[in-house]
Amino acid sequence: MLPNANDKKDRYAKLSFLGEGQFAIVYKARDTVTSQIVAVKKIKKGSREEARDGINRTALREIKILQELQHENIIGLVDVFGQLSNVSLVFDFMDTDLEVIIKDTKIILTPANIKAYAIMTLRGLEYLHLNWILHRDLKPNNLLVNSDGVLKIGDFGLAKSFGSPNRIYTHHVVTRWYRSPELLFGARQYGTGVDMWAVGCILAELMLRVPFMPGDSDLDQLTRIFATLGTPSEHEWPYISKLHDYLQFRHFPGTPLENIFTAAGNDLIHLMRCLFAMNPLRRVSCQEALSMPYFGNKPAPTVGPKLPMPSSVLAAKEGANANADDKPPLKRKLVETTVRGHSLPQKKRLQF
Amino acid sequence: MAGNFWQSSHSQQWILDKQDLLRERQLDLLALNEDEYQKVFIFFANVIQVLGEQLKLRQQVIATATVYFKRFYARNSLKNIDPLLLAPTCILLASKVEEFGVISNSRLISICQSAIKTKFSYAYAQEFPYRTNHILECEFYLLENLDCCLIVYQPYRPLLQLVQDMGQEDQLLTLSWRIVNDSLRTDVCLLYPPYQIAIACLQIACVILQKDATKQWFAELNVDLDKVQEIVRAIVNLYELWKDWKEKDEIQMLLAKIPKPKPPPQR
Amino acid sequence: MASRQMANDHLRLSWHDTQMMATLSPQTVMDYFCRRSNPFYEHICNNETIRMQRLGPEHLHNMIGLEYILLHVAEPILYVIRKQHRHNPSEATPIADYYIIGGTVYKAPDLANVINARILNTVVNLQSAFEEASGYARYHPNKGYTWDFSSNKVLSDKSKSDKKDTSSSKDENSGTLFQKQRVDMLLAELLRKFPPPIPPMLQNLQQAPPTGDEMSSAGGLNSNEMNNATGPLDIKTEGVDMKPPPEKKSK
Repeated sequence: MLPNANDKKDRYAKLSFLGEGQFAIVYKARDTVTSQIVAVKKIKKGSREEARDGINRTALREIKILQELQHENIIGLVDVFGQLSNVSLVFDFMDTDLEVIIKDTKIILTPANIKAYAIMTLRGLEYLHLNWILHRDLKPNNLLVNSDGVLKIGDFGLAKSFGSPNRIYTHHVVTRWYRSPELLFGARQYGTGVDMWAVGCILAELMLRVPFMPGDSDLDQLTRIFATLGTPSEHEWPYISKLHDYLQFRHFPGTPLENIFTAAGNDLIHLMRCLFAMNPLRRVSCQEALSMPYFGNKPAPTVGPKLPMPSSVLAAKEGANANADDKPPLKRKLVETTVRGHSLPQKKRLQF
Repeated sequence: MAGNFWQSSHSQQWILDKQDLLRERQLDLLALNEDEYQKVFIFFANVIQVLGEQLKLRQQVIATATVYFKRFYARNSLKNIDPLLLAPTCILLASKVEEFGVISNSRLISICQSAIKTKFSYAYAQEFPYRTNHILECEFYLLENLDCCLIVYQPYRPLLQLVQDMGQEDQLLTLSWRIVNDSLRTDVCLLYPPYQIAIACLQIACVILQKDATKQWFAELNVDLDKVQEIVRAIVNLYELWKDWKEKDEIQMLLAKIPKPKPPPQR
Repeated sequence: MASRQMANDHLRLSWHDTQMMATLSPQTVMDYFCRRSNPFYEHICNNETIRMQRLGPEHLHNMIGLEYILLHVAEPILYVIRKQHRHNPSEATPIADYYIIGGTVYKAPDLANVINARILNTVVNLQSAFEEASGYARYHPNKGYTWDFSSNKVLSDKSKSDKKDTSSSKDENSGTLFQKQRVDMLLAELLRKFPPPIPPMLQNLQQAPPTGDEMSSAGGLNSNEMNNATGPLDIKTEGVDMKPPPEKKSK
């Protein structure tokens, strides 16, 4: 009855295990027909009740949305196959993601690199929002990067069309650390602001190399947000008290952003401030963000192939073997000088 | 979905060519003639409508399910899958895609059974033979044949906008809405973009209600009126065919004529 | 333009942080310098980026852009920090140097500023000399132009003493003798290394005093210069033809 299911399954030859999430297991595979390297996401069967529901809804959501979208900065859905309740989605292969890059301490993220990642993320997100889709799960783990340095937004399992005035949305979306205050206050309707707040948190994480506001619970998350950025006043966010789960927090003055992100230029601080606007209606949109001076000022964003790659990716690319781990992420000449304590050989010295 | 129709998979992959459609249908047309074929589809569109209403689904969801149904058979012969199985499968898939709440499988099956027994007993002597596992397997097959193109643009939204633009009252809207529902029983959803279908249905409604004043409005529209006329013709043909057809008497014979799959396939 | 002004203002600035001053060492001096309150420190530099990302200093070599490095340590009180622009792991162009003496940070003047300062000094002194001297010039239709220092002897003494005061206060401003002598030494060395090309015209005038002496006298007290200045002036006045004013033609 299902003539093609088995063929498709054999078409993709498993190469290695890539990762596991809440809903799916991801493998690296080769398409035996086109020799393209792909990522196969096999949706987990879930509980027996879920399995009896047929095709997993999360998978369906991804399929239906990704099939309609085509953008350089959005992951491409190549194929779908499966059998009964085992759905597998086939995507472009992406070598790594932003979380791995952030956590790799051998990589330094220069202002140019950060700008490049920010532009690619915002471009993909702008396309999404123009098509009336909210991603609702933006985090560094879902921003995939391939070895050519192209960033693609992935994992559309929580994505949803928005704009319908009568629909009620669930507020249990977005990983807690990247969740905007209106979601934490239980808003039943929301918009692109939830994605923009997440972008702000991701930018902050790119600069600090640690999650910006890692809360343990919803309450803790709100406390952290207000302690860091200041409790919003009624003037700043009118009707905040009308939100579903609103609680009054004590007044925090917050820390000025320039004291947190000490190496950031004023243009970047301005962008952050606009992304972290408490009132979602005042939060900047993708289009507005991309027109801000930060993206026109120097330094220019790093060109794709020059973006830093984690050591594992470089090793894989060069086809190196076991001692790939110790390879430095960037090739450089060995320079004998150090920064502190030792003098550099110099032509001139001022003498008094 | 409020996306861009012109860049959607619907517009790029699922607006088919009439000749291609006919060619694909040749196998089935050996067993049934064109009128009979259409009658079969009228019947099943009704089945889907009834099932959808019993499950309290929005018209949009029912329409999407019907389009899935038609798309599947645009590419496959009737013998590949029993339409009686495909119909509830389309409903299940459409309700998931449109995010319209959860339909439990047991409820779906029981509704199918009761509908067949009560409303379609003239067509089917025996009970609804399928169970959850059949539907789930079929769901997959359906997804594959749809090429995973799940987002379908319906004429309802452009219809609302057009009526508003025309500035006419509800009577026109109600009638044209019903005509759009009926258009699902033709091939137009496979051949023409939804806004053209909306205009055609609106035009028919205007003629029926004798709103001659609107002729001016139609003339000012910037659309391919030839295409609109084709749609109008198709829908009028449908009504011609439909009004004379005694479904209750003839359907059993027609269903018998449908090509059937070969007996028990291996599992 | 504004940045050049700012750069020049930095020469007049000094900065220190009273809390951290006491515990400076080669390991902590960079942290001391890289404070936001330090006007010499630009916070958009590679050092700050690395610090914000909590990484080690080994990354500095691989970045391009502005960086600060510890150039020279002469414990216990002198540290020299260089601000430079790095182009690649082996090349960097120095932009400015800062020195820390006893915890206070100053900007080290560059050669252009030193020479400018010296020339300014010379010019100011020369100018005031000329102004002073012109006060002594006299004109009489019969005699023509003459110098008369005797009649204003009291005045000139007074002015001399005035000049002494202003020049002594000037002395404080233009640096200690120790500093001046050291700078003189440096400039002389530079001159030896890079002798200025002598245009052919000047080669004839061999009696022109060597540039070194002029420089050293420029740093000295005003009264000496006064005497030197009047010398050439004297010669000049003698050289001028003294003609009586033309007779009025009678109608």
